[in-house]
Amino acid sequence: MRIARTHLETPAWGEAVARLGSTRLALALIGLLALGAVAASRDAGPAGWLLATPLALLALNLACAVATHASFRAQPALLAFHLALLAVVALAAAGRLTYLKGTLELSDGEEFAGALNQREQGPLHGDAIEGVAFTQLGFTVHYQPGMKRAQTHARIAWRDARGTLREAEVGDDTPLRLAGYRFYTTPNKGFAPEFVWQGARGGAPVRGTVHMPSFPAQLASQQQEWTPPGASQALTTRLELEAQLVDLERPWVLRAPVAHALAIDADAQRVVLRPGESHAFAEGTLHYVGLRMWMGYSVFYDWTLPWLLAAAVLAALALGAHYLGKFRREPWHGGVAAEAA
Amino acid sequence: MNAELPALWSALATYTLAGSLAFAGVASGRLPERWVMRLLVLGLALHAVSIGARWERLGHGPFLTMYEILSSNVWSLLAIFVLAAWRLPVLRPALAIVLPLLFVMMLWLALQDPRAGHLPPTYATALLYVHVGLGKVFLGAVLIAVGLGGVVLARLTRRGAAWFAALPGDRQLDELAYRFLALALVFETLMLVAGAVWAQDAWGRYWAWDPLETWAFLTWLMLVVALHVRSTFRPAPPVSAALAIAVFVLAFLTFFGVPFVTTAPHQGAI
Repeated sequence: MRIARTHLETPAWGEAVARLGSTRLALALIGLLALGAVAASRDAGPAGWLLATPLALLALNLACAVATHASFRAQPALLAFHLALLAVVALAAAGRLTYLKGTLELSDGEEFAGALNQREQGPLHGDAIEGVAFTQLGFTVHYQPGMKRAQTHARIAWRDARGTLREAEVGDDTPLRLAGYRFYTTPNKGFAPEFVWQGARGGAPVRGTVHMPSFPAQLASQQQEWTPPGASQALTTRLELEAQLVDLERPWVLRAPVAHALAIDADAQRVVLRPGESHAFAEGTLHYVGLRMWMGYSVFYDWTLPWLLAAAVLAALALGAHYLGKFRREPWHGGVAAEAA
Repeated sequence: MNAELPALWSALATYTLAGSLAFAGVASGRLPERWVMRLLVLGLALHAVSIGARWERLGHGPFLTMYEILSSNVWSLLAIFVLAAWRLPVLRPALAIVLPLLFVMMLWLALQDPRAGHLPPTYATALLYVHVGLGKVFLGAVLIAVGLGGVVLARLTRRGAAWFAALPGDRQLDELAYRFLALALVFETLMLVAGAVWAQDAWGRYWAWDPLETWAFLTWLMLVVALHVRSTFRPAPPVSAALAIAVFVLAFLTFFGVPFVTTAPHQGAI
C-alpha cells in the first residue's frame, strides 16, 4: 500500500532522482572509486577514467541525495559537508583540465624563457608559461655524511610586472612562484662545462653549456656525448675532478668551482682542456670557458589549489560541527533501551 | 648516559604489567581499574622520557624510521585511550581487547633498529607535525571503536559475555563506537588535507596516488562506508563492530604495512 501511494503522489522523475540519490548506490560507487584508486596507484590502463567515472557518478548521486533527502535540509552542517565534497570533486576536475607539470634544466646564469624538457598538461592549459622568465644565478646543495642530501639553496632573479629586478632564494619546499607557476628545485643537478664553438666554415661563434649526468647520483659516469652546432661528429666529454669533492664521512657542499679538467675524445684523439684553453678539431675550434652548474627544476601549475584547500577544510569543519551538534543532542547512553549483554 | 632506551624498556615493562593486570581483572570479574590506569600513566610518562630524549638528541620528531613510528604510535594510541578511558570509565574493560594489539606493536618495536634515520630537508616544517598529529588522533579514535567493537564481538561467546557482563548493552557500546568512528573521520579528513598541503611543496604535487596516499584514501572510503552503513541501515552491533575492525585493519596497513612494500617518498627516501 505504501509503495502504491508513493507511485501516486511522486512523479516518475522524482522517484528516479530519489533512486539515483540512494545510499545503496553511493556505497556501490564508493566501491568502484576504491577500485579506481587502486588502478591509479598502479598506473594501470585508463586510470584517469577509472577514477573520473565513479567520482562523476558519486557527484550525481550526492546531488540527487541532497535534492531528495530531508535529512540534509534538517542538518545544515551535514549539507555543508556534502556540498563542500561536491566542490572538491568539481575543483579537482577543473584542475585536471587546466594543470601543467613539467621539468626543465638551467645552467648558472641561464634564463628560463618558457621552454620545458618534459611537459604534461590539461587540455585547457594555455601558453602562459611562455611569458614566464627567470634566471638562475647559482646554487649550493648541502650533504650529510653518507651521501645524504640536505638543504638546497638556489638564487633566482626575475623582473616583476613593473620591470623591477627581483632576487630570491628558493630550494626544496620553497618554490619560486611566478604567474601561478611553482618552480621547485629537484635532486637532479650537476656540472655544466661552458664552451664557445667556432665552426671551421666560419659563422658566428656559439656559446653554450653541456649538462653532465646528475651529480653525485652518477658520480662514476661524469661523461656526456654531444655534437657541436653545425658539426657532424660527436664529442665525448668526460669531467675529471682533481680533488675529492664527495666526503662520505663529513658534511660537504656541492658548489662550483671545483678543480678539474675535461677529457674530450674526437677524431680518434684525446684532448685535455682546462678553463680558458682551446683546441682546433676538424670541424671547428672548441674553447672551454669554465665549469658551471646546472639545476633541474620541476614546474607545477594548478589554479584550483587555494580553492581546493578551502573546500576541503570547510568539509572537515562542517563534518565536525555536524557530529558535535548531533552527539550533544543525544547522549550515547540515552535514547537506546538498555539490553542484556 | 642517555635515558632513551632504559626509559623505553621500563615503559614497555610497565605496560606489560598493566596489561596483565587488566586481563586478570577482566577474567576474574574484578578489574582493578585504578591500578591499571595508574600503571599505564606511569608507562606513558617513562615512554615520553624516551621519546623526548631521542627528540632532543636528534633534533627532530619521531616519524622517520620504523622504530620511531612504532614507538610514537604506541605512545599516542595508549595516551589517547587512557585519556578517553579517564573521561569514559566504560572504556576501561576494553583495554583487555586493545592491549593485545598494542603488545604486538611493542614486540615489533623491540625488534627494530633504533639507529637514527636521515631527515630530508622537506621534513623540517610545522605542517609535518600537524599532519602526523592529526593522523595519531585518527588512529587512536579508531582503536577505541575497535576496543568497543571487540567487546561486542567477544560477548557472542559465553566466556566473553561473562567477562564483559558489567558493561552497558551492545547497542549502547555500538553507539559509542560510532561516535569515535565519526571523530576518526573528521581527523582523517584533516590529516589528508594537511598531508596534501605539505606534499605540494615537499614533492611538487599535492596528490599522486603513491602507495601511502592510496591506502590512506582507501581507509577514508572504508570509514565513510562504515559510517553510512551504521547511520542508514542500523545493522546489528556485531556487523558495526566488524566494520570498525575493517577500518582499523586498513589504517594499520597504511601506517605500518605500506613502508614495507614501497620506497615511495612517504618513506622518507627522497
